[in-house]
Amino acid sequence: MLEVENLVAGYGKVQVLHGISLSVPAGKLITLIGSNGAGKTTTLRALSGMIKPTSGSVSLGGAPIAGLRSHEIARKGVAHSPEARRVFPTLTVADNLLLGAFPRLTGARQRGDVKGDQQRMFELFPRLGERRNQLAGTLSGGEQQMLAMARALMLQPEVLLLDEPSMGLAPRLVEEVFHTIARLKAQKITMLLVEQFAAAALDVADYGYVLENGRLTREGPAEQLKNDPAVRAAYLGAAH
Amino acid sequence: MPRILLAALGIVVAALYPFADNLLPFAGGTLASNYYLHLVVVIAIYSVLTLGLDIVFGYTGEVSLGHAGLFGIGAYAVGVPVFFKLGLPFFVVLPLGALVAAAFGFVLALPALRVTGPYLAMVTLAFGTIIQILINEMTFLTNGPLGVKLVTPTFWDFSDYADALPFLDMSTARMRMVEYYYVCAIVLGLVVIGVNRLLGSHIGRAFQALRDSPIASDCMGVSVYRYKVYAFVVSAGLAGLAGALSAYSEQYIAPNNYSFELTITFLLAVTMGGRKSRLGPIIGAVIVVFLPNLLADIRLFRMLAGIIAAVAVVSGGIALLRKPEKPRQIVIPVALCVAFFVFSLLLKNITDYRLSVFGMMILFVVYYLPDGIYGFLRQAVARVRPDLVRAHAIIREHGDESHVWASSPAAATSGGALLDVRSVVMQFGGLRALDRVDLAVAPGSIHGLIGPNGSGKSTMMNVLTGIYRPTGGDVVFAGAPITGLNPPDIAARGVARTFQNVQLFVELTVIENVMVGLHHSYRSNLLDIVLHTPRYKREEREARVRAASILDFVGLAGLANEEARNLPYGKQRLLEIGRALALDPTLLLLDEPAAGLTAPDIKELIDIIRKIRAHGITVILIEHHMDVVMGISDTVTVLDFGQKIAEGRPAEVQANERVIEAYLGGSTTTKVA
Amino acid sequence: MDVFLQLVVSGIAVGMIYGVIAFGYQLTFATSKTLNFGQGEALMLGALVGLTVVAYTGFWLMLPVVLAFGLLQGTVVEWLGVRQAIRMKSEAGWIMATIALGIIFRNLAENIWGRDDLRFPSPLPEAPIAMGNVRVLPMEILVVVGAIALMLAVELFNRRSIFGKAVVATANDRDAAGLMGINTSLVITFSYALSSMTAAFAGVLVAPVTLTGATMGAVLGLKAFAVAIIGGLSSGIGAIVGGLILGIAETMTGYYLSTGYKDVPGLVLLLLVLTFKPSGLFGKAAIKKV
Repeated sequence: MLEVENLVAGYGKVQVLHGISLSVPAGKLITLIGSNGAGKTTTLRALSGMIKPTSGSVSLGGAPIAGLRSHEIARKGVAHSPEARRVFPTLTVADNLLLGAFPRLTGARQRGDVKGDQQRMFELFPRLGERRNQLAGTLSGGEQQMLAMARALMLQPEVLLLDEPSMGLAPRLVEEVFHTIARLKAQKITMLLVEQFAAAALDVADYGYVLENGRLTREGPAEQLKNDPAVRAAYLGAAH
Repeated sequence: MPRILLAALGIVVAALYPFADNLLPFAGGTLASNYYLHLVVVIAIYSVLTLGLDIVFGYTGEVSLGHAGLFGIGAYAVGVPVFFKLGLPFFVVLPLGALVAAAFGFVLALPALRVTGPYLAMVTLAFGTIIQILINEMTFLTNGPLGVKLVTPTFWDFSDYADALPFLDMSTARMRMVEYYYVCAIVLGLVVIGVNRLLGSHIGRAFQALRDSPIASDCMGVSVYRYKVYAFVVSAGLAGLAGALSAYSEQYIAPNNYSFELTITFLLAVTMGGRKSRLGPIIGAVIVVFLPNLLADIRLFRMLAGIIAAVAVVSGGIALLRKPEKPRQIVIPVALCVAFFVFSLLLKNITDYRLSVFGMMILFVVYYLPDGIYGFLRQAVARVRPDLVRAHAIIREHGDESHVWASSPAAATSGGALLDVRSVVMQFGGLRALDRVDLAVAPGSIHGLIGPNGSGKSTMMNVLTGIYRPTGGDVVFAGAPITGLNPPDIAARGVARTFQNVQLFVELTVIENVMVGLHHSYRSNLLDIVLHTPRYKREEREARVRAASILDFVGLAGLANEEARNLPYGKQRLLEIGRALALDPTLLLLDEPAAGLTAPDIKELIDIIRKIRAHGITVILIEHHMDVVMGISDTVTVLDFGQKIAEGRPAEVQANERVIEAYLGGSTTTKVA
Repeated sequence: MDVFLQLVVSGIAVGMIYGVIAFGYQLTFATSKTLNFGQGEALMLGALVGLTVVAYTGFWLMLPVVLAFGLLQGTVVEWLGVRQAIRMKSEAGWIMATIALGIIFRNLAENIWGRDDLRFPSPLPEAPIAMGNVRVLPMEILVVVGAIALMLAVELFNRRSIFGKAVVATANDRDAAGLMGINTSLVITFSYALSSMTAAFAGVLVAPVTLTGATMGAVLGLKAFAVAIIGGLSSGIGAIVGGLILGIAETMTGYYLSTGYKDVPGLVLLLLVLTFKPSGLFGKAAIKKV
């Protein structure tokens, strides 16, 4: 579904990604793990168009999307639940969800049953249903994470990019988030999950890539990576 | 060397100008007629103001829409005494104009410069409008709309020499004009020298620093607010001086002269002429003074528009032949020049459209000539002969080892912690970024601070350097509390830092960046700078040597006169460290210094950190690069969710279960088919 | 006491005009963190275009024409003055560019409509209505009604339609809005179009009550900025309250001091608010992030 080849990206003078290649097959959950500063968030930003890649190619279902602006990439079916969630604080939960379906409501994507999907989100995330007319800015961190994911799902995306959904959440909520991700996986939604918490990510994913200082150092089926000591070293450094 | 030649040439031309018609009789006889002599005087007067306006606009980067008001204050500061028939001598009222305007500028700047950008622009616009209204309404003081008449002063009586030099026009009217011309020319010359010295000094560097990175500026001890006020007051004084000169030159002042249109004229002069130079504002003054003349003569205007269009088409064509990446960026301004020429053909009379022309010129300059005409010419010359053009004074001093450190760092208080953070809480609305964190940093140690994203490390950094005021708890440094102090004060106490996203002063050179860190070592004031007293010269030389020594220390000696923005990323990080060292800190805070560095750069970084510690400076290091942190730290503190979860030697922390879980996450709970 | 009440009532109409112009500043500032220094000129152009059209169509049919003109003028300002500056991240750029456009518009207006002030025909009878001992012009009532109606319409748009919500989303978080498939550049252009439209509307509302001419916009724009600041550049209610405060302060000054000083309270208010509470009486302080 999503093919990335030799992606080079950064911010101004700072080159963060030095040419990474990965692939997200349809219906699979792929995870990209690595310590802070490795470039995980930069990768997702380059894929969704928040930043423009310096070079390399990205294709969605065969069609090239690298270098397009973020709203164009979204209209093609790439949904991005961003780092720090970034829900729209002065709009209600219900409106946040509607905006996730903006391209469908304005004709850029097949309309389908937007209201029905919204209702389904309230069922999938009951706490959102309870708070549907509340302003998104008043929600707790965990609820905002749910909202960000639901909002992204409202696009009926070809691929869903999840950026560190566990960040800043208490352990119990992190568990809940991963339960939800597992449920989405069961529905065969194509996902690229970026996570700092390698263990939980590898538990739920099909396949994983390890990112270190802007380069992919290891990849493999999630089961294999879980037991790989090199992964731990990537996070906490060689033994001292 | 060419600069001195140019200056000498300028002085000779200026001295001989009033006699141009006698010296060059073939040129038509009106080169220095009363009419043109008067225009040149106006150019000189406007230049005094635009040189001052450049300090605010070109150096500190603020848009001021109130300078016509300050100009008017200067004019009325000399006009009011005349209105009251006080009979004050010229050389008394002239500085009076400057001082009164500077005082008004000070009173305005104190509140106004707490805001920036569009807010400041609006405030200065409001100020200028109020001044015009007050001058108009306070008729008891200013004679209101009727205005005040003045007489240009004369200084010497040359009537005795009239017979000896019959070919010169020695009538009183002419002599009055010529003498006043020399007065204004001399004042302008002095202003150019004074402004040049000011902007080349540490204060000039401070002005640029606060524009390029206000946060870094504050943290290096250069208070953004203070220096913005400084810049504004100097600029106000110069505007007042110009106003005073202009009152005597025009011999009549009235409130509707000092209008928004005049302020726009001044801004156009600075933007069109070219910022951050001495010649640019003068060129700008020439343009805006001659513009109304040009606009009055439609044939001349059409001719000039045609010439500009032709030049644009030719240079655009040449540029396009080189196959640039974005042809649109060349085609549009060329098209605009041609359209302008066509526009001039269609109009019968340009004077009514004077302001539209001003507006279009401003638009054009904002987008296509951001460095003004002078800047454009400099770049053009630099392409052909780069050695002739230099944007910065080259600093040639060399450093040596003994000058890297100013002194040994102060001994820590009775062996206790150098930095003692007690139960600090940082709350942002509903988010608790730091939750009762205790931290004790031993003197002379390297103390690592790590934690996952969002754990509070950067927040801690900002609390320690005064960017945030903690919601609760105390920070004690070297025995004295620093909780809630602002960044320049904390910097003055010996705490220096680098930034996660590099915050260099991009328009300054490498060595100038370090010299901003040395700002605290200067005791010279404005007078010392303008007069180049021995004290100032000594301080400047010592600072240069120290800066060069610091550059040697961090390995950037060969790049001293490069612009900071041209450095590769890794070297920029080293420069930040050098700049922080210039503060003579006891405690150095490094915020992710290894981020984005290659392996050889990282090795260099580690060496430098070790050398810094060897000198006795305590280091706190935030880093994600585990090899760096674990390899070099004596103690490591781990934060998670704003709380301290572990502390100890690197090996201990690496083996700590809670730490491992914080980074990698609990593994067993989420098994789902 | 009657005089006092009369001054208050007269101040309300003027104040609502300030509120509407301030509202226009907020529209563009919310989505793009920029504003139009030539907002006063947008109002002036609306009034003068309205004056020309009203001869052919009468007042009520003239309104949609002026609104359409406002939308167009705002789009031009954004396209010529603001778009490039935002991309260049140059603050001085859009400040100078919008000032320059304002100057050009004023100069063109002077040449087309002349430098003298003109009379704008009032759509309502000119005889004041007596309410107790206070006299109110019917036009003043129209101003208040019109201003409130306009701001309510925009609010409704923001709340009910998906496009309005897209505008609010852009104002909340431009990057995240882009991720939703919202073309944020278009949203910014639209907010400028809307902002000029509200100014033009304010122009035809205020024109019958005051003198119409090429210079009518200049000081209005500046004083309305003070009002917008009071509203914290984000609160519509704040703009209305601020406008009323200023309008009444002005009528008071004009009467008790002298008409020459009428413009001073607004300007002093601007200086005071920016000195003591730059985030406005209704706004929120921003947290610095490094």
